[in-house]
Amino acid sequence: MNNIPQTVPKEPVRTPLINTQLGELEITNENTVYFRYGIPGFETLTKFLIADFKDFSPFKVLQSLEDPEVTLLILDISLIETSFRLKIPNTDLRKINIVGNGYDQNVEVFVVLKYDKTAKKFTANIKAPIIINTQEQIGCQVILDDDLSVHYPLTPV
Amino acid sequence: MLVLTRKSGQKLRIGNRIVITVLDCSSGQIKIGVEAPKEIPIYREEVYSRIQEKNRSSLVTDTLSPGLLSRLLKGMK
Repeated sequence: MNNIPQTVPKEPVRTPLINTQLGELEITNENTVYFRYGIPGFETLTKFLIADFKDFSPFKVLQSLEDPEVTLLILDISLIETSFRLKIPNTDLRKINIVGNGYDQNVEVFVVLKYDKTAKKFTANIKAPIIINTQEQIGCQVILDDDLSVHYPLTPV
Repeated sequence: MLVLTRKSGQKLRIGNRIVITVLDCSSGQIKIGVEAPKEIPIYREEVYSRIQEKNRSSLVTDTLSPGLLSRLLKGMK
């Protein structure tokens, strides 16, 4: 008897997709983030996904997995020109299970961008950054005490 | 809204781990002490609601065209 092993062509792995304002985004194990207290304005939404916004790297999307209309454009704060260095207090880092001093390699800090139609410019909310513990996949939007702007201007478009 | 009346020194417990103490309520201001687990953030409401409003008005809608984003990207490079 011929025992020729036959290779069965594998079905392409289908990752779940969610339909959002910016088209379809892939949900993977790696990109889901849990926001225990939601975010201000959306306190009951705790499951989000942070996805690369293809073709528009480095912009990313913070998308609610529970409400398709809740889509926010975010950007790593290190990419924004500022004359100051933002410091996230340890008490805030503890909210995402980061214990210890200063910055941790597992912490990412993003700011939410807003497009102002009348002024025709994008602004960044640096007063309330979104901090992520990338190892445990938990996030929180913290409100800093410092006198920072909720609409820090980015270059006009 | 639950409305309760407290005297100086009296407390309220919210849930099982948050305790509010009325410390001083003279001279038109009230001093409130809050004991809560460290992971629970406490905000002055006017600060929190400003961020709520900002988040709600930042939602991406179909008015955000790819053209706008590419111009922003160019401007940032």
